Amino acid sequence: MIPISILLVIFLAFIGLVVLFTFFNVYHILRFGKAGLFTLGITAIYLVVIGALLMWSLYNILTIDWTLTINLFGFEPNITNIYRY
Amino acid sequence: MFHLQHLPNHRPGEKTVLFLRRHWIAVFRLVGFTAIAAIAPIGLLWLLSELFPTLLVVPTSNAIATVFISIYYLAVVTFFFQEFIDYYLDTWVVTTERIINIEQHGLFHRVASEMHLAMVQDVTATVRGALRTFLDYGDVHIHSAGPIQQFRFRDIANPERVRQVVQQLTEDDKHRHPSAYGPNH
Repeated sequence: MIPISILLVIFLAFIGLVVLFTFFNVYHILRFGKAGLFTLGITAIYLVVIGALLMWSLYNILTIDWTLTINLFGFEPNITNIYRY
Repeated sequence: MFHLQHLPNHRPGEKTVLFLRRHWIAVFRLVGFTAIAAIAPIGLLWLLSELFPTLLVVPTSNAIATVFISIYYLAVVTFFFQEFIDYYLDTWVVTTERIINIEQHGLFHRVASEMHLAMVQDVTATVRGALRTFLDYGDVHIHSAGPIQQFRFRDIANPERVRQVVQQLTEDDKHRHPSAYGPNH
């Protein structure tokens, strides 16, 4: 039996990675990009898209019951029965 | 941000003549790849719901699908922007005095180098392949006598015109700074 909350840990770790990449991407484009509205516009679009995606993900994640477990074998193993044979 | 009017180590009277990036086909390819990557899970979910109608109704399957779809789309958008930055920050600037080559490789590797026009020995334009010929984009190789052996303007639009401009600027530079080219010029 695997608790599905392990997926939540994976998801949160990935969110951390996305935030890190977003920070460095935005830093690079603002630090080294050609000065102008296009650079600012593309940065704003990226932040809006990634922000909306994060909100959508978190909204969906919050609707899940994280107390559930995954049963890989589809049945409860009855260990005591093997001693009968 | 950098301004074309205020390049690093700006020289008196220096003017920017060309500001180059890779051809727009690079962005087109990236957008196409991202669009396919964005549509793929929708097709996969439809296929799974057709083949295994009860699979996604189970609460645990729903949770797994939600987490993986969220991770997948966040990865696709992050990858797209990462690659776009790679395209956007790879630039070549040709001024009346020098050639500046700026390349971004991944997140933490950035190369900026420059070559004075007096160092330019040979300029070659290469257009190879049907698509490149049709859309008129290709490479320009600038060979140097200095420590930087070669600059390569990769997949730029109108490579032949760029080659002509660089050669013309080199000729003009010879007339302005004859001492930099030695007594034979």
